[in-house]
Amino acid sequence: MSVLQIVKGCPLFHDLYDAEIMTICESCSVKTLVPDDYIFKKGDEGDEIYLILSGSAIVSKGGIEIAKLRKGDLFGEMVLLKENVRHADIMSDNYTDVLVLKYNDIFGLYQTNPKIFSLLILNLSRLLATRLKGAGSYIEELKIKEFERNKKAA
Amino acid sequence: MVEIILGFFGNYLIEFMMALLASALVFRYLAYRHSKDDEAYYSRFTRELDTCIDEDKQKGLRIDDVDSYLSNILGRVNQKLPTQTLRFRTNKNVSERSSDDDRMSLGDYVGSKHGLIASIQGEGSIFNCQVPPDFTELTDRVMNDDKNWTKLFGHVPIEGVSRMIDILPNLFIVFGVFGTFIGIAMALPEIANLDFNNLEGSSDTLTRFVINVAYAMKTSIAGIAFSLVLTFLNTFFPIQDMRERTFKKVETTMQILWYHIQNDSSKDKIIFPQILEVLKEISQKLNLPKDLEELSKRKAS
Repeated sequence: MSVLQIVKGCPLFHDLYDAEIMTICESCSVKTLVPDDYIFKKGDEGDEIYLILSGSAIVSKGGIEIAKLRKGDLFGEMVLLKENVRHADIMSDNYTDVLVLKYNDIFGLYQTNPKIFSLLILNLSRLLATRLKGAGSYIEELKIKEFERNKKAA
Repeated sequence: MVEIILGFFGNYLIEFMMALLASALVFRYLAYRHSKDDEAYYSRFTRELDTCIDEDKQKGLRIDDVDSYLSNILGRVNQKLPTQTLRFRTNKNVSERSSDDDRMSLGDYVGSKHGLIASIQGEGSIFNCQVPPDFTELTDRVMNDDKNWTKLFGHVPIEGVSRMIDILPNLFIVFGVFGTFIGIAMALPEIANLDFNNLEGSSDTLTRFVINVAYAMKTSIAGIAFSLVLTFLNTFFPIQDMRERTFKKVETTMQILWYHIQNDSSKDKIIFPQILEVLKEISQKLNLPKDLEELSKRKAS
């Protein structure tokens, strides 16, 4: 099934077997969006994680486009760390289908299937570490550019 | 064990064949109607996709990002497709969802019109590739992901039902012959019990002999008759032919979509003029003869 192929590619589901991924996805829902539909806005409260099955979405803050999300990208995962308030606007810029995973469904796995739950949390940690590393590299580049600019100005 | 089977078929073979024919007719009717619904749905899908492709060609739309364009065109087609059709009669999400909520369960998503769209988008890498794919295999993969296409009521594989119905006419003939042999096998021992010196006293034996021979004839007649019924239906209302036509229609549309995307996103159209410009600059700097410049102009045209 193509939906399974898309979900398997997501870093949150690494090392999980197909049957285990289907166990998680069975309780998920799918939201269909048209261009310019908002998935959520900055300041909204939510308890859902989203995975883009098809289409794309734009992450923006204060009208400035920060990133573009494509098929297989995961967002909203901060709810797993109990960060209920959204920090940016996510708007669909195409005909987009997103898989919606609820916080309660994922944490419910702690009781029903601790192995899947622990793998999900491990993958989440890896995902956040990768993003933190990326953010660190970007800050370093900006700092270097600022230093060179100041040097030239001086 | 063999005696039990022979005993069963010796008494109930015709009833067994009638039950088999009845269930075959029911499944055949359901498979035929299902295939007609599929044909109508896929015809609508291919028509809408062809219309969207034509509209984009007329607008002269440029395709810079294949994945994004694929999402866009399939999304537009998806919008035009009906949510509730003969195919999705049991689509609960339509009635249970509120009008503000665009959500559905994953099972409903895969089993609805979105499933077909998601299958095609799952093959996005094929549309990115510049080498023409095997469109038959591509269409086969896309359609086999659609459980409405592959299964009857979501459970019974329709290919299996179709193959079974195709072999049933021959099977009925075989059952008929089988019944004939059983009948003769039951009749022949009765001759051994005949007392030729007292034929009047052997009337019961003779009666049983005749009944068994008649049973042998009846099973053959039933087998031939049932086979004729199914052959008639398979000839005038073929299921497999209808499915192949639908398959070909989708394959043709996949081909049209692939060539449309490849032609529009062809990098040659962008790169070749740039290469010519660079060559002109080089020839000017090197002061090459004018006929070389004319050659590049001729190639550009």
